[in-house]
This record gives sequence, structure tokens and C-alpha cells, in this order.
Amino acid sequence: MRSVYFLVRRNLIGVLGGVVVLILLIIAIAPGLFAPYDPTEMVGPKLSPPDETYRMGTDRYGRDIWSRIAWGTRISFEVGFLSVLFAAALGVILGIVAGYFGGATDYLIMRVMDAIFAFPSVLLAIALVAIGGSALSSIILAITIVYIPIFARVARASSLTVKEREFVTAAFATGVGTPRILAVHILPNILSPIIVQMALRLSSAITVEAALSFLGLGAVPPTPTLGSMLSEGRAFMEISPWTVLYPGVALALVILGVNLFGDALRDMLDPRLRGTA
Amino acid sequence: MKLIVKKHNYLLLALIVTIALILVSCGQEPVKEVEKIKEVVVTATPVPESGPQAGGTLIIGKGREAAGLDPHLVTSASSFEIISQVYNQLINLSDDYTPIPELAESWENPDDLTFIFHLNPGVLFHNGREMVASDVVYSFERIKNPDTASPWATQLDKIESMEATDDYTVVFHLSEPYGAFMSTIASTWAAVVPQEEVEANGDLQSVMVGTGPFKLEEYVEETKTVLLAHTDYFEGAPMVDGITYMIIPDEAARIAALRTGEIHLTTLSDGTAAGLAARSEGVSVASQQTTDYYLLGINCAEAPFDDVRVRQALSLAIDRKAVIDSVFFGEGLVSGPIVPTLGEWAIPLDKLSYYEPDPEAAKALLADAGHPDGVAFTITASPRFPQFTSIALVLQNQLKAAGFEATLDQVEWGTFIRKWIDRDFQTFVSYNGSGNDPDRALYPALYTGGSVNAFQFSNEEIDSLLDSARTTVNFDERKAYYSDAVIKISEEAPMIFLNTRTQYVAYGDVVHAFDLSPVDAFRSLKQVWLLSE
Amino acid sequence: MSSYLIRRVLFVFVPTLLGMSILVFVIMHMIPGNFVDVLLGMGTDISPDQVAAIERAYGLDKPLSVQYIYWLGNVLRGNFGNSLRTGKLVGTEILSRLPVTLELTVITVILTLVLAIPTGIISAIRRNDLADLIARLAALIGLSIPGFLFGTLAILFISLKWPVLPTTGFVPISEGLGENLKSLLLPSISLAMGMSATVMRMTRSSMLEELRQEYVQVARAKGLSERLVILRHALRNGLIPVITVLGIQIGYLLGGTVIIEELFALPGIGRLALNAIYQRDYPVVQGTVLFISFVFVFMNLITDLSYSVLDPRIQLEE
Repeated sequence: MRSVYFLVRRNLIGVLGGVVVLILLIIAIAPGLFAPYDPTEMVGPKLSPPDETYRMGTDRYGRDIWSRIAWGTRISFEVGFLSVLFAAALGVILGIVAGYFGGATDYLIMRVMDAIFAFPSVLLAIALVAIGGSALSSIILAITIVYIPIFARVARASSLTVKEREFVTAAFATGVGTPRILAVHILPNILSPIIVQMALRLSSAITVEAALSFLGLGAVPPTPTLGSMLSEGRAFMEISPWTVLYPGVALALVILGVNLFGDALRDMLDPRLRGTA
Repeated sequence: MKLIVKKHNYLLLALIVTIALILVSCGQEPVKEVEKIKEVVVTATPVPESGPQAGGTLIIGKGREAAGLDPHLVTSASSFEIISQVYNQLINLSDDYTPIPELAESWENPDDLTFIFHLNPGVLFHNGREMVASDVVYSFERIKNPDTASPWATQLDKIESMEATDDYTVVFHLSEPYGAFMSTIASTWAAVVPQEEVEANGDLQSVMVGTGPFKLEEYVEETKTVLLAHTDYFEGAPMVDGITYMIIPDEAARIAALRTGEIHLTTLSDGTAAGLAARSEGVSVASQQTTDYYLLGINCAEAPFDDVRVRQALSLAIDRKAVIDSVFFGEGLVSGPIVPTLGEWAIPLDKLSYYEPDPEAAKALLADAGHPDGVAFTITASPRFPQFTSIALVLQNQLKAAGFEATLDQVEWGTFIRKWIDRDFQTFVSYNGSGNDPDRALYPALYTGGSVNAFQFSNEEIDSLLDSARTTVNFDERKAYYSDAVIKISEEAPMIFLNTRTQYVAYGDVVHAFDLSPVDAFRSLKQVWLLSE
Repeated sequence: MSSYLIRRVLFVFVPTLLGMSILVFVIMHMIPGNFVDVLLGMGTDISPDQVAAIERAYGLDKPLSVQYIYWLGNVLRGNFGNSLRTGKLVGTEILSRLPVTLELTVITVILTLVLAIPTGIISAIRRNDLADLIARLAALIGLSIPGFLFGTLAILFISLKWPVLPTTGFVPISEGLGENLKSLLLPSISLAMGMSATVMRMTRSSMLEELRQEYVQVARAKGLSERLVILRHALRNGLIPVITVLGIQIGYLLGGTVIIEELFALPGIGRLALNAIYQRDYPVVQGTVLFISFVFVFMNLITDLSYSVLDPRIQLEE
């Protein structure tokens, strides 16, 4: 009991964050359990203020805001996780290949990565979504492309150091094929910086999705996303502030939770930095 | 050391308290008494006893920058808003769409093919030269000239020749009778421009030299456009010294600027914004129904909508009044093929077919057309116009009852235009302008191969009715043709005519004598005066 | 160092920007709808022949590779082309928008420095104190509220309760410095929130790292006052990584102001680029994105260089 108290005292913010993340994740995994209504259905009166029936009020079409937030949280996580996951997968492949083979391959891959990295990310995402349309899949793809270079860089740097280690040179000497060396020996050894990076990029991926939705380039309506709720609500915010306030707080909480999660993961996997932030 | 840390602690504390205060004060809002979105109350500002005052600069908040300034080349309302203050046409239209004098003080119509206009003498261009008959001829020749590449050229096809018989008389010869001739040349794009300025500048996209009540002083891209009063204006100098248009794209921002007095007047896109503005202290809102109408365009060339019964079912499944209520908070009029706002030309809605919402009848029609399980289709819309998306959402909801399963396809504006050009859609939400004459409203949109007939709609009977109406000059005969055409169009349902677009203008209480005109919303700006504090 | 610089510019800097420009070009032309489509919009009476003539006039009828090489050739001669929409030189367009974005960036950076660095230092010194806890919490909150969300709520709050600041638009310096600064305050705060959170966290962790170092212990042991130890020793080294982060953040800032400029209606570079994308004004998109990327890459280079200047222990290598 004492130790729990001690832990809580020492890392109050971390514990707080854990609770927030846990709640949000549960909502995101099973929004149906918490959302009393279909988030796309026009169920009630328009712009009705929060009451017992509509806990966070309704929007301009009479859709239940709480239900939309619950499902919107899910979409935020979904887009964030998937795009970071895909970006990590592609980036790791490119980074390992670049780091392992070196030379012209390395140079070419990394210059392409630099070029994407130097492209202002919001503008790149906007242009990519304009090509692919507003389907959720094209938004995930756009965010994926934006974040590939970051993972490629980390993977390349890590694989450069791992490459020189004895067990890799030994494997090479015993005639193990290149793909196998990459997959069995290098990949597992660079995983931890990649996971830390994934955790840290998750919140920016979620922010980019929200920003796209905010500019009206997000998921197709009536898909409930926190960013589009914000942008739709903006026209009504002075008379019905709940249309903006709740989705805004929800978005901030999601990002906050993910940031805390990222910090915790970094502390765990990267002991050098433990307790520094 | 201790001291420094203490100091910073206060700073930190102050920061946190501020953030907390902001959050808390915003957070309190929801429990406050809720105001319903009410109909916009138009409150006329009382005229002070001192009477009208001259002087001052009228500051207008403009949502979108003018996309070019050449009256003969541009197509967007954002340009015409300014052009109509700087240029004049030969004639204009009154608020009930009958011709009234402008540069021409009078006219004669000796036969169906000849129009003679007598010009006001002493009208000066902003460069100081007098406007004469040869300028009128030059201007129309310029629009017609293929090298000008004017989007309005085809509107003047019926003009065979023009001549300036003296400095103040212009004669137009038409190739065939043209019912919409007077309303065509009353359009804002039919402005009279000085030849020497076109030749000196290549075109008039970035310079403006007209005869109108205001002249261009300064044009700062994406920031502002400054007009000054043309003191030699032939109908008398405007009351204000000038108009400054500030470019403020965000609507909420324009309302805020109106409230703080940074701007005096602004257009608003919808009733929500108007309601918001109207509730502000010292702000009045004027509104009127325009001749633009919202529509659900249908691709009539492809299944399932190539079957007229499916289109009729769509028309029956839609509750137009409910669209007005949900999307426009009750502001708007249900529209037929000719908008109810087109003065004498409107045809009563009860003459139209498939207009009373009836989901059951729609279902029966669908079954009859071989779709007993309903029809799934996509609605294309663009977030550039949020009301398009809103309409699509409400339609999607309404259509379920009749067995239509609609999915939204939301695309960026440039993509939307491309799809429109390629006819790459099943249905789309948009709005059309009706101009100032039923010919303008119906011919380009529904005549076989018409320039905006994206619906690929073709019907011989309707084509022939539109042709007859076009070559008839007598009002009653023309109207009879249009009446038949409109009824037939409602039966064919090539698109779903939804409702008229409401125009809102909000202005601060220093603005006096502002009056919206259906033909040209800002016609009254030359009479507007500002009450100085 | 100078040979490093030359190698870095030749083999990284230039190829990156070249690759970038190809990327922009390809992506822009992959978006459906071209400049002429958007220019003409829907429903104008223009024949396909006329459309083709307009496309020819703007050089849009040529194959993409030819268009790109033509563009690149001009850029190498210092000509970024003309805006299709306004006909003005792209360079002129960028220069006319630059002051707004630059001013916004400068104010944001000043706000960030004032907010983040003292807070970060205090937080490190008083690790796990209440002050530290509050500062870290504030940083987390700052990191978690996207600029556009903060901006939206700020506009709501300001226009409802406290209408002293303009909620929109830009007032040029020529119309008074006070008004000018007022018009940029809210946008700058919106941008500075996230940035100062990042910088504060970096300051804190870097200071903690330094305070653990031996030389600090030695200095303490020598009996130097804590204040001197921190100011003279720990701070000097501790700020090096902070400068890195700041440099990279400034690079991001130029590209990251798009939404804030849009929200607050500021005529800056970001909005120029955004509108150019919407209007398919290809030369303007090319020019602005290239410009933003150039600044970004340049800031990274400068950051690397200043790193080695500030800390001679660090060797520059590719």
C-alpha cells in the first residue's frame, strides 16, 4: 500500500495519464457500449443543449454529440494507429535496406526520404488527400506517407550500428542469406527505438487527421471525427458552445493520453531518458 | 537564487491561472440559457434627425477575393460585386425584372429585330474621357470577338451587327427575334469599357476604368481593394468618399469584425451566421431570396437514373421543405424549374408533378422500374461549400424511407469541377443561377447539349418549347411556352430543384440607406451614407 | 568544417530540394482537375477548342516532363515563373507574403523563449516539486491542444467575453505597430503553445542531464554558489540540445502556420500555398513549397553547424 502511494506521488502525472489512456482506449475499442445512439443518425432536436437524454447536447442535424465523440475517438485512434503502423513498417523496410546495403541504394532511398520529410506535412497531406479523395483509407495513406521518412531515418541509424556487431558479421560469415540477416538479426534489434518513435508520432498523426477534418478534407460525412465535429460546430459555437467545446476537449484528451502513453513507453524502453520528461 | 525562482513561480502560476480561467469560462457556456435559431429579425436602423451625411469610407468584409476584374472575362460573383460599382451597362433591370435606363436614357424597338438606344450625354469614364456610342459598340464587339475568349460571347450570338449612328445613338440588329435580349444586355458583364484602356493594359483584369459611381484606387492581393467615389458620376456622386473591401475568408471572423466595428457591412452565407450577426448589438441583417437555386443534379445518361421512373421516385422521396428547415433553418423557398423569385415568370408549384413528398409512392415507382429492394447511389459534394455537404446529409437521411441508400462522395473543389466536366458522377449537389430571365435559367441547363447540361438530359418536346420561348418577344406568349416547359420538366425530373438561395447582408448601425436589390444586391451602395460618431 | 559544409550542400541539400520539387510537381499534377478547370469553373459557355487554347496559352498542353524541365531551367536562372492566376512573378508573390509569416514566426519564437526556457530550468532545478509538477502538466496540456483547437476556443472566448483583441485579419506595420502586434498576438499564442511545450520539455531534460554531470558536481564541491553553477556551467551546455530543437521547430513553423493563417485570415506564405493548391496554380505551389522546404532544410543545416560551434566536442560527419 505504501509503495503504491509512493509510486503515485513520484509519478502523479504518469498515473493520471494511464487512467486517461485506459478510459479512452476502452471507449475507442467498444464505442457501442457507451454511445446511446447511432452517431450518424439524426435522432433528436437540433442544437439541443446537454440534458439527461443527450448528455453532451446535439449538433445542427440533431445527432447526439456524445455518441459522435465516442465513435470519433475510435476513428482518431484507428487513423493514428494504422498510419503510424504502416509508416513504421514501410519506413523500417526502407531504413534497414538503406542502412544495410549502404552506397548508392542508401543514398537514393535517403534523398527521397529527405525530400518527403522537407515537404511541409500539412500541405503534403492535403495534396495527397486531394488525389485520393476523402475516404478514410486515403487519409490513412496520406498520413502514412508523411511519416515514413521519420521511421526510415531511425531504422537506418539503428541498423548501421547493429550491422557492425559481432553476431551479424558472424551470421554473414556462416553464409546466412541477406533477407534472413535483415529479418532475424537486424530487425529485432532495432525494434525498441522504432516502438518509441511510433508512440511519439502517434499524437502528431492524430493531430494531422484532426487538422485535415478541420479544413473539411477529412473523412466523408457523416463519419464522426473529432476534427470535423469541431469544424461543423464552429458556425454555431456562439449560440451552442457545446458543439465545439466537447469535441475540442475530447480531442485534447486523446492527444494528451497518447502523449502520456508515448512518454511512459519511452521511459520504459529507453532507460537512458528515464524520468527526464 | 531563491528570489529568481520565486519570481518565475509567480509567472508560472499566472500562466496556469490564465489557462484555467479560459477553460473555465468557456466551460460555463453550455449551462447558460439557450437561444434557439430564430428567423432572422431585420431591424431597420433609425434615421437620425440630422439627415443624410456625406463622407466617410464604407468598409466591406469580403469573403472571397475577386477572381479578376475584367467584366467581359470573369464569371464569379466575387468579381461582379466590385465590377457593378465601377462599371455601367446600357440598361439595367428594376427589382421586378423590367428594363430601366442606365447609360441609355431611352430606347426604341421598331421591329423584333431592331433596337435603338439613346445615350445619356456627358457620361465620363474614370480617365476623364466622355463615353460615347462607339464605346458601346466597341464593348459588345470585344465580348463577341473570339480572341477575347469571353465566356459570355455566346450570349450575344443573336446580335448580327451594331452601329453608332451618332455620338449618342446605338442601333442593334438581331439575326432573329430574341426574347431575352433586353435582360441579356442588362447583365453586369455587358459593361461598357473604354477601348484605349484595354489596349494599354492588354485586358482589364487588374485595372478598372469604367463610368460607375466608384473608381479603383488600390488593389492589394488577398488583403483589400480600395474604391474611391467618382465625383463626376452622371447620376450624381455617391454619398461616401469610398469603399474599402477587406478580404476576410472566415465567416465567423467577419461577424466578429462587424461587431467590433472593424468592418461596416458583409455578406453572410447562411441563416445561422445571419442569426448570429442579428443578435449582436448594433448589427442589422437584411435578407432576400435570390434567383439561385440549390439542386441535386442527376446523371440521366447512366443506370439507374436513365430510367425516368427512378428519377421521379427520387423527386417524390425528397421533402424540399424539410431540406429548407434542416439545412437553412427555414430560410428559402421551394423552387420549381423556374425559381419563384423570378418576378412575373414564376410558375406556381401546384402545377408541377412529383413535388409532394410521398416515400410510399416513390417505393412503388422504384419497384415498377425493377428495383424492389431499393437503389444505392452516391452523392458527390465539395467541402468548399459546406451547405452542399449539409444538403447531401439531409437528403441521405430522407431518402432512406423510400429505399434509396445514398453514400456521400466528398471531393475537393477542383476535383469536383473535373468530375462535373467529365460527367463522372451519379448525382451531385450544387447550385445554379437563373440569371435575370427564364431563358438563362433553363436553356443552358436543360436544352440538349446545353453548356451546363451536366445531366446529359435530352428531351425533344422540352427543346422545342425552349426554342419557341427564346424566339418569342411577346411576354404572354413566352410565358405560356415556359409554363408548358416547366410542367414537362417536372415530369422528367432531370435534376431535383430544391430551394432558392437566401442572400444575407449584415451591416453595422452606422450604415444608412442600404437596401438589397434582387437584381444586383449592392445596387444601393451609391446612396448609402455613414453616420459619423 | 568548410569541406563538410560543401559536401553537405552538394550531396544532401541540393538533391533533397531537387527531389522535393519533382515530388511537388508529380503530386500536383496527379490531383484531378487542372488550373483551367478551376479557373473556368462550372457552366461557362466555352468550347473544348477554347479550353485547349487557354491550356496552350498557359503551357499546360505540353508533356509533364517537358513542363518540369522548362520550370527547372527557369529556376536555375533565378526565375520561379509567373502565377497562372495573377500573372505576377512567383518570387514577388512570396516576397509580398513573407513579412506576415516571418513576423508570426518571430513573435512565436520570442513567446516560446520567454515561456519555455525559464520554466524548463526551474522545472529541472526543482525536480518533482510542485512547481515542476505544474510546469510539466502545463507542458503536457500545451502539447495536447493543437494550435487550431486553441485558436478556435480563443476566438470563441475573445469574441464573447473579452473583445479587446481582433480575432481575425492582419494589420500591416504601416498602420501602426501596436495594431499590427495585436493582430498577430492570438495566432502567435496558438502556435507558441505546442512549441513552447516541446522546448520546455527539452530544456528540462537537458538541464537534468547536465546537473548530473561530473563537472557540475565538481563545481558544486568547489563551493560555487548554486546559482553560479547553474547559470555558468549547466545552462551553457544544457541549452545546446534546446537550440537544436528550437531550430528544427522554426523550420517546421513556416510550413505549420497554414491552418493558423487560414483560421485567423492572415495573408502569409502558408495560405498562399494552400490557395494555390486549391486553384492548381502550379508555379505558385512549386515556388512556395520549395521555399518552405528550403528554409526547413536550411534551418536543419544551421542547427547542425551551430551545434558544433557551441560544443567543440561534437564532430560533424555525414
